[in-house]
Formats: sequence, C-alpha cells, structure tokens
Amino acid sequence: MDADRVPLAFRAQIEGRCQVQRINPDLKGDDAAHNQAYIWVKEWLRGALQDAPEFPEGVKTKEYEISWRFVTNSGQDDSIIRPVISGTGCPFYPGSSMKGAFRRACKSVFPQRILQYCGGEVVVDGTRQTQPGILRFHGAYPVNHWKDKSDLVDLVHPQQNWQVEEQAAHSAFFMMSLFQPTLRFGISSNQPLSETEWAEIWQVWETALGYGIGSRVSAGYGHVMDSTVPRLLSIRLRGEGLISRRVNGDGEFRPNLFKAALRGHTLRLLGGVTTAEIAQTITKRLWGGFAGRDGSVMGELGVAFRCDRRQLDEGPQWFTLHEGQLDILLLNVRDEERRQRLRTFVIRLIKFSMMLGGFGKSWRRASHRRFFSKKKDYRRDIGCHWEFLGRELGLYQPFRNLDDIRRYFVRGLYQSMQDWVMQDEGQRLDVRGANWREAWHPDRIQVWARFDDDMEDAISTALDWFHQEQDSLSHRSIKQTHLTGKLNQVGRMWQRMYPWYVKRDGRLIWRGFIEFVTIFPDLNATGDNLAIQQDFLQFLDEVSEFDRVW
Amino acid sequence: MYQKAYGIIETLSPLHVGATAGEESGNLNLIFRDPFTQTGIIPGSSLRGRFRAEMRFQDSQDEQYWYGHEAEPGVPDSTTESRVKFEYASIVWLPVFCPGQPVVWVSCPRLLQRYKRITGISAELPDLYTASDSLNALQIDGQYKLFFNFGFLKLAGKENLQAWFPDGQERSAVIVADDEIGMIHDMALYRQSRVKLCDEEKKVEGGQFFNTEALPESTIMVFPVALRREEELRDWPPFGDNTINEDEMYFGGLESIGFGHCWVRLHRQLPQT
Repeated sequence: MDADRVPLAFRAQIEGRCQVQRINPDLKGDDAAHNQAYIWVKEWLRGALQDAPEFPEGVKTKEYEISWRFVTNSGQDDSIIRPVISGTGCPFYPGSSMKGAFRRACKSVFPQRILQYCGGEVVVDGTRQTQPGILRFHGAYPVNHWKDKSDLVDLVHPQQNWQVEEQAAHSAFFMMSLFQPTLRFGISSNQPLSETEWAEIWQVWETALGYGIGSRVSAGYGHVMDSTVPRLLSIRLRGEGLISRRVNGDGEFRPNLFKAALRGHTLRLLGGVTTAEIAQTITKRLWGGFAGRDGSVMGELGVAFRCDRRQLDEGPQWFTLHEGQLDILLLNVRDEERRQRLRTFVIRLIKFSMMLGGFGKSWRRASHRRFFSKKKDYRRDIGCHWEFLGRELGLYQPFRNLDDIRRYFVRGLYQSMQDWVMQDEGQRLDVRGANWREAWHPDRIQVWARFDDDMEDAISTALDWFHQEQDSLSHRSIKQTHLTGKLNQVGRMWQRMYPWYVKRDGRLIWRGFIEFVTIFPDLNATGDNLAIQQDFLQFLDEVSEFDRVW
Repeated sequence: MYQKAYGIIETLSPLHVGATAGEESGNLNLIFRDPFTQTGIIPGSSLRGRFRAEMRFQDSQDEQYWYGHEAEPGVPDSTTESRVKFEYASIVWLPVFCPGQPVVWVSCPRLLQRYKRITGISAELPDLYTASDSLNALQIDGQYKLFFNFGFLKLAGKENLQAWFPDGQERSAVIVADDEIGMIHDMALYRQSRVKLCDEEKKVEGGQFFNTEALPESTIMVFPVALRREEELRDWPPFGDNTINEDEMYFGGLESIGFGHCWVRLHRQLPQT
C-alpha cells in the first residue's frame, strides 16, 4: 500500500496512523528507535543536505556555540515542536526571530539606533509612516554536526503535579531540538558601515544572545557558552548522580534539572504558608508559567548552567561533575530593590535545595555510591550528592547543635516565606497552607536530623532502613512500603547527607555531615499503612539516633 | 522590432513578493501568483522599480533616462517612456524538499515553454513526468516514484535535462503537468509563522499572529527585457556600468529579516558582429 509509505510528516496525526510526539511505553532501550519521532527524524534527514547553506557574499557572519540545547518552534506542525526547516532540509533560525531579539537588545545597548537599524514608525507632517531600517537579519544555520538523530530527539516532561501536588498523571512528549549546535548568524546592511560600527552591531547581537534565544530559555535552552546576561547569582558546584536518559537509553546530563528543582521547591515552601492558588501565582511570577486563558507569564528568573566538558564524566548510569556553574538569570526585573529582595529569596531557596533535596533524577536520596553502608550490595545506582565550591561555601548554613537547626527551620525558612508572601507579594497568608502532599507545612512534614562527624567515610543510617531487612532493634526496615515509594509512586521521604559546617571566628570549618530525613506522613493512611507509619515514627523518636528538628 | 535580452534570477534566500491587499487568506500573507499555473512571479513593475532604485546608488547614471521620468505634480507631460521594458519573472525550476528524498527541482511544460521562448534554446520540450538522469527516486514494485505530500508521482522516463538549466548543471529534476505544479508549488514554499512579542517581555502580544509564505531559496526564474535600439542594449548599465552583467539584488518584501536576496544575471542577446 502506498499509504503506508507516506512519510510521517504528512500523515494525519491520529492514533493508529501517526503520533509523532507520543512516547510509546513498550519501546524501551534498543527498541526506542522504533518510536515515531526517531523515524520522523530519519525521514527528515535522509534527503537533507549535509552542509548548511552558505550566506551570500556581503553578509557578515559570526559563529557562536550553544552550551546545551537549542529549540525554536516553527509552528508548522500541530504534532510536534520542531525547528523551521529550510529549503535544503537544514534546520534554520529565522531572520524574523533574530531581528526581534536584536531589536530588544538594541533597546538597552543603543536605544537611539533602533530606528536606524531595525526601522519603525515615524511621524512626518502629522502622518504616521513606516521607515525601514538599514540592517537585514539573515537568521542562522547550524554549522557543526547537528545531524545525529538521537541528539535531535528531545523530550519534555512536565511533572510538577506529580512531584509536588498530588499523584496526578504525568507524561513525557517528544520534541525536536538541536544538541550543542554551533550557529552561524548573518547580518548585512544596505549601506556601507565602518568596522567600528559593525563591531557595535555584533555587540548588540551578543547582548541578545546573552538573554538566550529561541524557546525555553528560562530552563537553560538557547544559551551561549560565554553569556553576558544580567545574573542574580552564580554558584559553582560539583555533584554526582543518576544520569538522565533519553528515550533510547542514551545518557544526557540535562541542565534543565536545576530549574525544575528550584521551581518545585518554591511551590512547596509557599504552599506551606498560603493557599494553593496564591502559591501558584507567585511561583509563576518568579519562574514563569501558563495562565490558562490569559496565555503565558514571563518569569523574573531563569536558569542557565555551564561547565567545561572535561569537567563532566558521563558514564552509562552515573555522572560525575567536577565543577560547573549554575547561573540564576534576571530576565525581566528592572527595579533594583526587587532585584536585591529576589537575591535573598533565591539564596534561601538554594540553601534549602542543598540541605534537604538534591538536583536531578533520583534527587530524594543521597548518593548510594558514596553513603550506603554496603556499597557492593545494592543492585542499582540511586541518588545524588551535590556540594558547593569555592566562595559559595558561604551558602552552607552553619549549625552548632540541634537548636540551631530548629531555629533555622522556623525563622530562616517558614517565617521568611510568610514575610515574602505578605510584604513582597502583597498577598494573604493561610494557616492551613495548600492541600498538596509536599506542601511545607508543620502539620504535613517532619524533619529529623543526626550529626555525623565522620569526614571521609560517612555512612548513612537511614539508607539501611530503606534497603535492608530488619536485623536488630536499632534497624527498622521500611523496605518497599508506601513511605519509601516505588516505581511510578513518589515516596514520602527525602534523605540527604548535608555537609556540616560550623562557624568559628567568622570562618567556616567542615565537621562532617548532617543526615536529614524528611517525612511527609500520609494523613489519610489506613490499615497496614497507618500501622507502619506510626510504628516507624515511634521508632525514630524512641530508638534511632535522629532527633526531630521541625 | 525590439532588441531582446533576458535575466536569470536565482534566489539566495526566501523571496516574498506580496499579493495585492484583499488577497490575504486569513492571517496568511500570500505571494503574488501567475493565474495560469498558480506559481509565484515577480511582476515587471517590481523588477523595474528595483533596477531603478539600484541605479540611484550610481552617481554617474541617470535613472530617469533609462527607466522613465516620474510624474511631477503640476507639470503636464512630465513623464517619459522607460527605455528598458521588463516583463514579469516566472519560475523555471522550483526546488522541493520532501522528507526522505533529496531536493527535487520541479517544473511544468508551460513554464519551460516560456523559458524556451525567452532564451531561444533549441531543446525539445520533454514529456510529462520525465526525470533527469541524476534523480534518485524510490523504487517501489519496480516503478520509480517520487513522494509529494499529496501522494506518489510515477516517473515516466529519464533524460538529460541540462539544457533546461541556465547554468547547464544537471540537477535532480522532474516535469509535472500544468495543472499539478500549483499544488507542488504550494507545498514547496517556505512557510513561517510569525508572532509579535510584547515590547517589555518575551511573550506573545495578544492576537499578533500571522503567517508568511515565500518562494524557497535556490528557485530559478527568468524574465525578458526589451530595449528599442541595439546601442541602448549595449550601453544599458543595470549593475553600475555596461560591462557588468551580474550582481546580487533584493526583490520583494521582508528584506530586513533576510528575505528577497537574489542573484541576477543579464544575458544581452546582441547580434554577433
């Protein structure tokens, strides 16, 4: 049948015929290439030219390297987000997008030249006229190897509902984005310009690139290696953990994990002091989001991440990042006072993320490679471990004793969130908080802590409860219960080994680790679950080395 | 009898010569089309206007002399006839990108007939569904087929089509019927959705959404030129002086976002002396 030979790009997007963006759960690992997205890409690339088209003579060009992925939405297919494809099959960043980004950057660099460069409306003798600009923006083509199909197939996986709010359904979708492309941009002018002026024009374009180009820039897409965007904070860190996977099983370190973590924690913390609706509104103002019929909200903050490729070891299961830089970007904040306040807020958020959560896949557990008592004994890699580097050590909260920790949770976290909602956002509080599983509310959450002054070979106590059978009174097994969660069910516990620092004479001194266990008891538990939960909390209180701090 | 010349245009970027107002289809700004084959054209007036503007950059040249004197308000009979007559540029070959196969250049008898008339080549018009020798097509059940997005096209035979390309290159090419090229042309156009973003933040300004279509880059077009006398044809300096016969020019709209960039080559068919 000829109908079955029609390329996927031209088929009706209905079940049974073609669904390019759907990830088929039955096609895993080696079979992933049978997913339609991979076939779609194969068909696209089969006839596409190997090399990007050359810009004609007279067009000034410059190349820039994108630090991770780059996505633009052509808007041409209702089935999948993909770049504009040029006449020769090469992906293309359109001149119209480029001109828009340039115009915006020009506003801050040379506001008087916008009309000259980009054109606009002028009033001549009382009538409005359009005046063309002198520059032409030719867009960009990728000039390095962009044609590896497994790199092109990217996925979007919104999981906030599932992770924070309730066990709502969540699913991932395919989209097409370019992986670390080197883009060659072209600009020409309809009149000769001096070298100096060209340098200034590229300066404007580099400012535009600094903000990130294309879509999803707030999650780390579309940033150049040496970005110049205004930054709220830059944080150097190192970490190790479970590597994210593409659908075909290839590992890929995905910097958008940082935004996901910070946005999720913003919701959790605000959801502890105000209503769900207000917490959502504030989170959207900070990090952007969709506002239903009102379209979308541009966030005030974005996240970009860079690291020297040599600092990142990507194994089949596990990545080790020796040094990287997390940038919190200011996307849309003009008011200097608000910037300062945001800085304080984000520092709180990052401290919290480091102390109780991690970043990335399997973030609810500490790295088993590093902290599990029987390192040889567990079957698969779980968890992650992150640490600040260099000057950012100051982001560790120093604790001398349990009371310090208790004070931090009340004053440093809970009350400062209340202040943020009331003073900075002018919204009301709600003592009940949001009705979410992981809202940071005293009735929903317990945090337990234990100091461990073993500096080099610290071992987690709690990981044994998750994985080992019961072997003594001091070891209570909660293996495979509703508390630890299982595949496709988020557990109700977080566990972290937090570097323990004390402050002496104004200097931070490393003393070992604090093991934190955070529990979100199931308030509606019945039967066995209720018994297990009560039993375990009693054990924590009476037998274990842990003390409750919140 | 006029002195004849012709120009070949190869687009270096998408080319958008907009249709008249009132021809928009929803929020899609259409390109100007030839009514018979429904393929894109550049009207003669656009060509003349562009050449005239080009000459204004040349200090030593008089655009009024070559392209006619414009009307002056209040002065009767101030206009003069243009010495150079342009006819519209039509497509000779249109490159079509389809997933799964290389780019294929497509044309139809009517367009090739016009090319033949303007350039005076002697080649025989190829049959319908003839493909060029270099075309790689899918072989399905022993039959060569090309996919265009409304279905599969069965190829008749292959022959050398070099004579029909102005630069004499052999490209992957196929000839379809006059009543089919419009459909293929519409799927080959460069299409792009455009949105206007807010001035203050990177999000779409409500309702500011429109689509653009344009002839794709590498489209090959032809237009005839006529001048009254032989010496006029010899002396006409469209690209600066009369010894230069090719240059880059911009046609149509959306120039500031990279559209309309073309390579133009003039062939003066002067009698052999």
